[in-house]
Amino acid sequence: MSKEPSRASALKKTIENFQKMYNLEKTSDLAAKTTTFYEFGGWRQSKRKTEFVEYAHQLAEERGIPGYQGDREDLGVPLGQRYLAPLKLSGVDAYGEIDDFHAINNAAIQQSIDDIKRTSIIGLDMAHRVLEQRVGAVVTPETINHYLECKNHAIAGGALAQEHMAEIHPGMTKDAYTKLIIGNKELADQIDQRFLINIEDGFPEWQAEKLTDAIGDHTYQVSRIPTIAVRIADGGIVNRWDNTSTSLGLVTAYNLGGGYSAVSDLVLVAKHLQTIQIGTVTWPRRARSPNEPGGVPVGYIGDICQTPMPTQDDVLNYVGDVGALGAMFYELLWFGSYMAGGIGPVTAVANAFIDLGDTGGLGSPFLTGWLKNKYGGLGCAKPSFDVIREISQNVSFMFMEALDRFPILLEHMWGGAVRQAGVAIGSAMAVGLATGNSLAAVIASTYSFCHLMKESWGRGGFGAADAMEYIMMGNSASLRPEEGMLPELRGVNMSMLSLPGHIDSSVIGCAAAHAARGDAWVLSPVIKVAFSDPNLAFDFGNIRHEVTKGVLKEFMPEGDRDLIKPAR
Amino acid sequence: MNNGKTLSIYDDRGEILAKDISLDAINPYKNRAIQEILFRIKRMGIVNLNKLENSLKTGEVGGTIGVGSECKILGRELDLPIIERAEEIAKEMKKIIEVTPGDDTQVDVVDKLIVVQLPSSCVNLATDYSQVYLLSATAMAYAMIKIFKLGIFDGTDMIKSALLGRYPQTTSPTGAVSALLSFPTTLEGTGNAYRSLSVNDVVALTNNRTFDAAALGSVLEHAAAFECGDALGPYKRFHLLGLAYQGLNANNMTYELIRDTGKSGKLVDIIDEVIKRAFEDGVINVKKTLPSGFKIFSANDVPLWNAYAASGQMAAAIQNAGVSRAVQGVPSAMLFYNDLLILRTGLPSVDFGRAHGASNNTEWLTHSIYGGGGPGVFKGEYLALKGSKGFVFPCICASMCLDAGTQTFSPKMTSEFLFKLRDKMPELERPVEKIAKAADKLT
Repeated sequence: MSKEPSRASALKKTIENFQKMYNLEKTSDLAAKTTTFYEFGGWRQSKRKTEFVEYAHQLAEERGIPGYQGDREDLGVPLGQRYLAPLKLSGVDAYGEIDDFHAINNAAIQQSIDDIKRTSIIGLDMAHRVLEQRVGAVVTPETINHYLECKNHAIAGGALAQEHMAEIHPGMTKDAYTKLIIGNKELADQIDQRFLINIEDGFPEWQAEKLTDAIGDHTYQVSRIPTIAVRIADGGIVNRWDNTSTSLGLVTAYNLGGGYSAVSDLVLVAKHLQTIQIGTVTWPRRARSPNEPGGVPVGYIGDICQTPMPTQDDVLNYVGDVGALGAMFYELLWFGSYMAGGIGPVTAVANAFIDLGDTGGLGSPFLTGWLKNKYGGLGCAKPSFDVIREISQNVSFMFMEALDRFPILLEHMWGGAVRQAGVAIGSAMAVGLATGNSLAAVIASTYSFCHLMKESWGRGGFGAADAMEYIMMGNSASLRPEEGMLPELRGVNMSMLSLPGHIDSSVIGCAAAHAARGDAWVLSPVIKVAFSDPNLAFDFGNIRHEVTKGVLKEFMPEGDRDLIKPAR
Repeated sequence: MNNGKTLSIYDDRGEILAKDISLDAINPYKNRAIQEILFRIKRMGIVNLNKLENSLKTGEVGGTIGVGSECKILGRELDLPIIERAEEIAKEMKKIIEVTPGDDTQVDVVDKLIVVQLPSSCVNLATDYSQVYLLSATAMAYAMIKIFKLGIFDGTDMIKSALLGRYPQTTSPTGAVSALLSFPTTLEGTGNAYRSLSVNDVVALTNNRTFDAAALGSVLEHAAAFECGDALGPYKRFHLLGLAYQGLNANNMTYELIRDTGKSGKLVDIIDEVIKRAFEDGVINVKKTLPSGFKIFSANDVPLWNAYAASGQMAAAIQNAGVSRAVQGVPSAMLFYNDLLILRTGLPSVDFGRAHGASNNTEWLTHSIYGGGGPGVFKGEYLALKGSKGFVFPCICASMCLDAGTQTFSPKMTSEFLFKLRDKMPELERPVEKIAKAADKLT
């Protein structure tokens, strides 16, 4: 039998977490006829908002136009008597205020998105074949190294092959570079190690072996265009920046003429046929170019996250970081900024960061212990509706039971989104862990809402969030073209997932399923390796710690304009 | 005198196929043979069984990379004998797709493909043709589930993703299902679907026959012009004459230009012949003779002049590819043909300069670090060719038929399966003859 905590102790811990996080200690004296519980002080209870008010007064004087006026009752945040609960990062001993998690206020969150957006990956196999078969060039480790020198010069804004080209100050593009992923160890050993993402260095032995096998004899080029580039243009610039510097690099390294017919073949394979799109284009109503968050499938979040993928004993840290990254990527950036215009719903969707306790949230030693005991290990249960029902019932009821202890708690939680997300994420994670099947996991996420309905918890939260739960009941496993698909490939561009509140459980469900199976990646071995690169500005192996640095204003981002602006 | 109201259609041997037909008899809205070609193209979906079976077996579905796959979903691999049971699957698909038993639905196994031809009732009712992808994929999925007895957790979601890729997370399918027309959301501009076949596709569908490729390329381009609203008002006659003279060898002009100038092999000889014919036929006149003796021309009938010039451009392209047995120089040949034509006459070049510019773009993008590829991969709606609707694409199609295999991306490489589909497309067997006969009946 496992030594994991019992249900009773897990429930107790959850309740304690709620009490602490939501300032519920004062509610214990039920006999009292008067209370000071609601005297939180409005905006003054927040250190951050107080700071905003002071700053804005000074700013208004300087520019002569009033802006932020959080201290005015008729304008300020309509808090009334509500408590502004701090957000605790799950798995990290740190709290932040809601405002600290707004992407504009958090440099770490910004950089995490920039680092994903500015990544371009191209397969080089066909380019090498065209060079050899069409051009007659010989591709060797030496020529590849020479090419990489050319390419790294060009991607940083250096001119190649063409005359009179404007170049870029290298300080503006100091975070731009190109490296290779190579599965063939013999070839990898001969490549200039400065230009190599070494699989063995980035992963534990078991994982490195599986990833190396999956990459096989293929060679991929991973480029990071400068952060400043994705700050002046959208994700569509990424492949183009990389592609043009690739073409110029190949032309220079292999001494080709610029207007040579074979160049067009080379360009076709390098720029189009073997370009990997991390994010694909989105539908017209939310139209974005490739490499924007809306086009990124949920499975990639589990691959971009570099927190060590688990053994059976350490699954929760990985899943927790995947959840945090998914929430940042989709909820804060995509829904919060791209879709909602940057104003408002951060609080509603930040739930995935919050330690919801040991039951429904992102960490549950009790739950994993229970799953192991019941099914003989993680990933051992055969997916079925019976398994989905049993596990989601267990997760949901425990979470609901904890919440029911504090009827007043819902006044603090933003709408119903937090509670709904709690049961949905918890259910998806648990079923994913139990079955190793992503489809069962996402069905469990939706199914958990049935328990909320049954218990008459009413609407599921902000912005008709439960609408999707109703729809996805019929949708999740559907073969109708616009509905279900492999969960790992889903994303917020699917119409039924294009509103906040549902996507986190898909992200976590997929990651949990593959973690339970002991897989080395979720959706793509290439993406997994590409983000193991230590030169990235954001450390994807320590996601919640990096975000905490952002909260504490200790994170140093890229993409500054210091070199081209006057000193303040 | 040629008034452009009637014309005769000739084949690639210079033999007459239809005499003195009316121009409107080749209108895509009226000509039965053109309609049948277009209808066949519009209703056809294709499932690549090899790709489907392999991607399911390896778990490699949902990738974005054109060759290979960056995605691999572990634990969800499915080893199903799809190719082995293709006939059974096709039979089941037919039952699923049919609106009424015995209608004109066709589902055939061709080599390692399942070729779906949707019933007329579906095609006629639809607002677009995305259904060739979506109905084919869905019917395939249901048929597989039934035949292989699969439940929800037996990988049905894998099957869907293997068929449609990341759709609808992204805006177009990228799996084992394809069609002759690109998915509507991928097109650059509306009404351009008939321009979404590549040069190599047209060459494959016409089995490397030069004049057939010219005809099919031209039919597709001008049909798109009608669909886009481009071929209305003053442009209707302009497009019909272009289709006739450049695509269907009207009055044997293209054939004779190639025949008569073939020995010299110079663009200027073709240009001189075009001017001579146009002058003799009363299509153009001398507007002014300069003191040097240089003549500046004026057109009596501008659309007809354009058709003559377009025929000359086709001859220039065919001649260039024919003598070199290579297609790479054809964009340059068209570009310089138009350059020289305006300098020689003072008249507008083909398509009022549009073909001139599109040739220029094509020349650049078939040789450039900035994009493109070899001429065979270009589509009519691709930005390089898009500038001229109807007058550049057919010339490249015809020329590609004469290429002796110099291209990395040849029709055999990119469109091999379309050669195999010809058996299911009887309309494409001697299409010029069929269009001529249909026009004859209308006249």
